[in-house]
Amino acid sequence: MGALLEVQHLKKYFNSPKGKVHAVDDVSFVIEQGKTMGVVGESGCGKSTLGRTIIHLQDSTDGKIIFDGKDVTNLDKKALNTLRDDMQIIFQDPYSSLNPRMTIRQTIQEPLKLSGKFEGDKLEEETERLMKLVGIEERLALSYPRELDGGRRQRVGIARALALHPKFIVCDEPVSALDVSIQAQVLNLLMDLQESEGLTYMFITHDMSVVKHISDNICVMYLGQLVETCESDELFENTLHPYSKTLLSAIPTIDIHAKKKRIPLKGEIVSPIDPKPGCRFAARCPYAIEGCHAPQQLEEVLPGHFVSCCRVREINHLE
Amino acid sequence: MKDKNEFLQVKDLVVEYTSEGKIVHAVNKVSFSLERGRTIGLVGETGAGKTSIAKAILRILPEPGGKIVGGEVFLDGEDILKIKEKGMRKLRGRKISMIFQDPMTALNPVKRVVDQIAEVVRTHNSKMSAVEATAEAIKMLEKVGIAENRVREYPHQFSGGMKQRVVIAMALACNPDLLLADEPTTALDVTIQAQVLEMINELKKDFNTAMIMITHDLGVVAEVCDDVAVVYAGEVIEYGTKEDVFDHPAHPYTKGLFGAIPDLNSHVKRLSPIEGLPPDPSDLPEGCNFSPRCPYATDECRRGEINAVEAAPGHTCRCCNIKAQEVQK
Amino acid sequence: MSRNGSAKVKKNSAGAAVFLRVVKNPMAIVGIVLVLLLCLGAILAPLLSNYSPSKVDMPSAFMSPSLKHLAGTDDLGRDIFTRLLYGSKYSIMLGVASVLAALIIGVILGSVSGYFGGQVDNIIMRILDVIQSMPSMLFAIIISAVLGAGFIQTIIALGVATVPGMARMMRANILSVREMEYIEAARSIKCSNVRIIMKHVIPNAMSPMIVTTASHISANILMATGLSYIGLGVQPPTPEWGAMLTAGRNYITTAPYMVLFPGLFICLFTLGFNLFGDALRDALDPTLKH
Repeated sequence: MGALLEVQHLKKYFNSPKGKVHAVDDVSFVIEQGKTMGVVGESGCGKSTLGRTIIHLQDSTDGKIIFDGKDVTNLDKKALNTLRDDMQIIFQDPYSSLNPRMTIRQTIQEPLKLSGKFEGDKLEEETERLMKLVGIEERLALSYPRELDGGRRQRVGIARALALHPKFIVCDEPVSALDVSIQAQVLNLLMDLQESEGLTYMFITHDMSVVKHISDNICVMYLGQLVETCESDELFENTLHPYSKTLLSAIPTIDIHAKKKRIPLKGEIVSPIDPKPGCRFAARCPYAIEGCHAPQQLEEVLPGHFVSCCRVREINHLE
Repeated sequence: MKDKNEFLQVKDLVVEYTSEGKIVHAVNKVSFSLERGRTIGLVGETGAGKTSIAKAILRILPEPGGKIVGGEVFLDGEDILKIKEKGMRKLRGRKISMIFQDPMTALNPVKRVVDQIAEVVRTHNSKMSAVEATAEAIKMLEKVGIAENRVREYPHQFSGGMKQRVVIAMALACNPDLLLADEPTTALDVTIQAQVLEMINELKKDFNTAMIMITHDLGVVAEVCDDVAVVYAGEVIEYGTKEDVFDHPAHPYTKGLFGAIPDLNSHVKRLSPIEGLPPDPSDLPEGCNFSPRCPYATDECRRGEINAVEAAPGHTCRCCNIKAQEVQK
Repeated sequence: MSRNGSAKVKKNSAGAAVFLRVVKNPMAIVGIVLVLLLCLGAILAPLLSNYSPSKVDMPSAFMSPSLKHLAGTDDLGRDIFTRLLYGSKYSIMLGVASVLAALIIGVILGSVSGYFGGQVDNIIMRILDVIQSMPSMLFAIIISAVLGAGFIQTIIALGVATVPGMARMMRANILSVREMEYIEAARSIKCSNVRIIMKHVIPNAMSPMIVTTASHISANILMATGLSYIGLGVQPPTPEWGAMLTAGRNYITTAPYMVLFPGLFICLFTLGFNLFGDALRDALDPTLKH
């Protein structure tokens, strides 16, 4: 299967009173058709901005977005509307992602009505199908979001995203606001839908165990920069970038007998406003040297395993 | 578990809220105990009643609405639910401290960090001079990893992790015997969470503090707790040492929780979620609260009160069907 | 999928829940009763009183309150109670009409300003700043002085003076609603800007506006009586409460009831609307928190 989405040197800067915020800085990766790309990082690393920029909820500053073989970086209104059919988003907060004044049915029907393809009986049929697809009981059709629990709200958001039969969905922390037992229900649903509807996901999260469970490939981001990307299992078995190593070692696991070696981190995250060139992790990195303050290249260090660190081979005793 | 010489003993604690005419059964006959220097984790999902337990112990339930309806809380042999409010005020901060999820609720935004802690130190030790209190505050902040050159800054100049560390320093400043931590790391990034948890572990050792850690994250429990109480619908449904509960979970709900978490070390393709939702605490089911979601539930589970039984010495479980489960397996 | 009943479908909508909460609040009941009584009085005035509100009857001037004349008669022999009943119509209409007009204009200006931001926002807000830089009473006086005295003019004066507060509040609501994820969701399913504003933004920004509307009505009634008190509002012989106060001022020592009863009516009516507005705010608050 070929690539569905390719992002090349994507940049997104925001203007702020203090200067330019480099939210996404030169990020490149490829998502294969039918696969899930996990994007992980801590708050402020630009993972949500990345997702929103790709699906054109925000304009990109620089770089290229290629979707389904076409360059979709800059689009006019008509082309953008066509693209919206193919790219959708599921949000983190099931409390703010649904209009509190619209019933479940109205929310799910809105994209159907706007598409102009559904009317009368067909509209009702399609609404019913979508509700069944995501597992919302029919009796809830006339309820308002506040009458539903987080898991069901999240299902409504999923139904809305699926209404237009998209090929690609950005899942922006879709389970982090849910309790574990509900979280598992929604994760299973997302995986089932991927199979039955042939979906491609970009799965944004800060939860390493969730991302490992659902992703085929993973991007690790730190302050707007992509530091490491490879297959999911490879990342956990053969972590190469110093930041990824720290991140993985920090996860509290439920295995109480595991002997863990935590890599301590010094200092705090530096500001993403007008940052200096070079690796942004250098300020906290135990391996930082002079060369880290020069711009870093994303290199294929092992087959399919890309890392952006000038000392990666040295640190990991490769070659 | 041992009796009598326990430092903290909570017995049959019941908390109710009244809201718009309905009675919400937030905490239903919760019992557990804690020795000095140990940490108990109260784990459960949103709305399970974990925070209400902590607030009841501190007697800071929201008024009007929240009420302790029954039970006893012995701290050092004294039932603190019977103390007058004035005496309780002395106890709070001096003997018991609480850390909240959002550090900003505990910090004064217009006061320097060091002064805030010095103030706490002085209210609990009135003989101390201002200079001594400040020195003590700086010492406390250093313990939680905040360098002396930053102590004179204001809270807004600190990052989330640093603020939470300041709050912990503040809670420890009066050297409490019992520390209640309500999701202290939930709002933090994992790398910062790791730092804070490590710090909590070290401070616990240094001060020999007894701690109640409230969390929904079993990983956090694994990191810092010695004992675990699993809370579901206001009841402790399983209680034992961390090893008991993590290695041999006995209650179907606890087992369900472990099955629902994606584990870094295993390769399951599908998670096994717990079907359904926690019950409405103003309309609890008859019998076992978990029975509507439980795959092993029988008629026996749906009537009468379910008593805690011992799955192993010191490891209790509120389920009438532990044996039956074993057979089904 | 689930067998338990915690996600019961509640049949009552948000509006019904708010209504129930309002009805349960005793102060709200007091407020509603006061407002309703006065409204009824205004509508049923011809039935409740045999006297004419404007016919001069010199022989019966300055009669103290009695069973025949509940609030006495004024300097021209007119029954004060009758005039108060008829007058409530004007006060209510002035208050309600000016606030509604201000609400409509304020919602539009505030929505446009808040949703689009940038230069549009700047221009609208600076104009409103100019209006708001003057006390609203003073501003209403200026407009009345320019437009002349009269019923419609008073509505315009009061309305324009109320717009900035309404627009500002709407703008603030819009700004917070605009950040919600369901607005982004609407954009991703191809909603047009107009549809987003009409279907997603405005409905969710309106609840605080309803509360302000209730409390603005009482403020505007006060302002209207104030205007006619200084001779700029509704003109005699229209039985307007403020104008009646003015007329009675000259006889405050000999016939204090001429001031007392209009004052009492103004107090009761503003109190009624304020109590109702506060109750409405408290009732809406829990839903606002979500």
